[in-house]
Amino acid sequence: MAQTIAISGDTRARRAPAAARHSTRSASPRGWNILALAVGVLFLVPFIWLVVTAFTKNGTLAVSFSGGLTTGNFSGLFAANSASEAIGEGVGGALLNSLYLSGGTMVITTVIAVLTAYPLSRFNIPGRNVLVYAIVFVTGLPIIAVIIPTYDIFVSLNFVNSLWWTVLFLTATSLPFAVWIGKNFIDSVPLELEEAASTDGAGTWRTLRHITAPLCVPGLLVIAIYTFIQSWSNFFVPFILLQTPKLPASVTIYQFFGEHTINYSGLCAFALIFTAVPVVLYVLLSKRTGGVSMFSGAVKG
Amino acid sequence: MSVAPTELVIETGPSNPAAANPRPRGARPTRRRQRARMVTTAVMMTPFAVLLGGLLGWPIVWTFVLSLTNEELTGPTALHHQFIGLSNFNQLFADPNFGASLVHTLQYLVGSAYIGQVVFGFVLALLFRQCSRTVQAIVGGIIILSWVVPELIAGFMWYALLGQGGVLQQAAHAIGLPYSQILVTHPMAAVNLANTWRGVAFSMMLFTAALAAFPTDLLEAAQVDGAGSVKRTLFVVLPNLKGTFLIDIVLVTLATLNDFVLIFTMTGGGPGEESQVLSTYMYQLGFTEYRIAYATAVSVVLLIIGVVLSAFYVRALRKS
Repeated sequence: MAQTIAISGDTRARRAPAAARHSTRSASPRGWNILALAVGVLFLVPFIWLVVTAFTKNGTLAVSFSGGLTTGNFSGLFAANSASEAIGEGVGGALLNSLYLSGGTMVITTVIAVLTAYPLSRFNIPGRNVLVYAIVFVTGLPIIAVIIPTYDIFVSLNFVNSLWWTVLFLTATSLPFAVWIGKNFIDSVPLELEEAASTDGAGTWRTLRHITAPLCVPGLLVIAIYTFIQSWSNFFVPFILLQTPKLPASVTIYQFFGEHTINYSGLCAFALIFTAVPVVLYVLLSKRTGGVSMFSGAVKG
Repeated sequence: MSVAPTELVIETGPSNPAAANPRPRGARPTRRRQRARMVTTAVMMTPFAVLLGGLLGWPIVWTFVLSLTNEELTGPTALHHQFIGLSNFNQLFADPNFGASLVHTLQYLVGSAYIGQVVFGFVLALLFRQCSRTVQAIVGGIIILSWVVPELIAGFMWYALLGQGGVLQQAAHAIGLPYSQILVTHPMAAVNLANTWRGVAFSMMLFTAALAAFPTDLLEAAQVDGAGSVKRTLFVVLPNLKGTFLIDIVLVTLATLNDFVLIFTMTGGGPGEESQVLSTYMYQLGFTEYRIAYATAVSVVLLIIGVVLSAFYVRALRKS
């Protein structure tokens, strides 16, 4: 083990003697590959129950194929008058609420983030650096700490159980991070193009619309999809600020799980659909941006 | 809220013609242009300022205000609360359950954030460098999948794995082994394990990127000097990744402090108070016991820890 954790660079580029290369690389890859695959299998274990139960009948908390394989749990979810106990009614509505919350948050966050990030990136305004660091500072604050006072404020203003106000709260909490990665993206768009547009007589707004925004499309997509995933998966905020007919899928799933005579098969099918949305979006995102670069904003100064 | 968009339309007026009509050259147009830019900036940032001030700034201020009152969700103080100074904090610091949730929060940080995510994430990144590209893609993909799954679903998956009548019990039963209810006997170990599984991908990706960008000539120099692989890792790689480690530690700490759902779904903070952390204790005080003001005293503690850590984060970024 000690011998082989060699942080060598790319082996192709390394000019080590053949014998040395042999001792550090060729002998070991299979062992390391097997170890890594074992880690991968262990990470899959928690998924077994969710997937198996979603595709079998009469699921419980354990894994059982006795009911036989079926896709009926999925179609049963959307049946108008579902016989499959509590689930069925409200699944479509819950998913629509989720879509409303995360779609609304995504659109407003992306638009406002670009509007804010552009002058931060381009204009030499006094106190700009302080403002940027203040925004970074806010990205670190534990949002969970303000949920009770927010609830208190929402109660006194009669905002509780409003999808729209929940969208705005989610927007406020996603904005600092969105502005920051937005600023980093705009920083990377060459200034010369804008200067050319400006020389040709285009104003700030026209430059932003016709030059900067199109070049920032990959960055915009990252902000939009990231914000969507975060809001879609959020449980705590809608759990506190919303009530029954307006609850999104995350809270509905939680409520189903709490009931004792639960139809686990239907619940797992619902949970799988709910989970598939962020997973598919993440795959699309990483295809576009190449994985880690999504977080380059969080690490780049 | 309707204020922001309206302002946006009205105030674009003066800045647009100034920019669209080219003026004769000289000192005045530049100043004029500078002024127009300031106006444009102000207009563009207004929606951000309004939203953040109203829906984040105000709640933060309100957290501190509420923590000094005796407000409750029900009863006489629900409508007419009074300021009671620092009594909530005096009571909090004498509250054994608060002490317990502080200790559990620390255990959660050390177990699932530092050992489970920072150290294990770094080890995974090292391991992947020894693997073939295919294995890297498959295993990396599985680990990232665990991270993309919504936390609530992750909580239920782990509940079904470890809980009463769950998958592990079934497996132990099948091969004739006794099974203890981990969620009851070792709740902190269980949630630490789950949070490691859920969160390690972030650190792993951060370190993978940092290692990929690592200057190879440094390593080659160390190798020429006869340093073995362990020595190279300890004395060449680690010191050079100090910045990455610092940022990772701060971000992972903040994420773990902000975590509520995993513990809430797996153990609910129990049995008793045995896996209660600051966030779950705050929830219990506020929404189970309806002691809003007392609960915000816990929020204030969380906020202050967050402020200190965020300041560290900004400092670390400014340096790098």
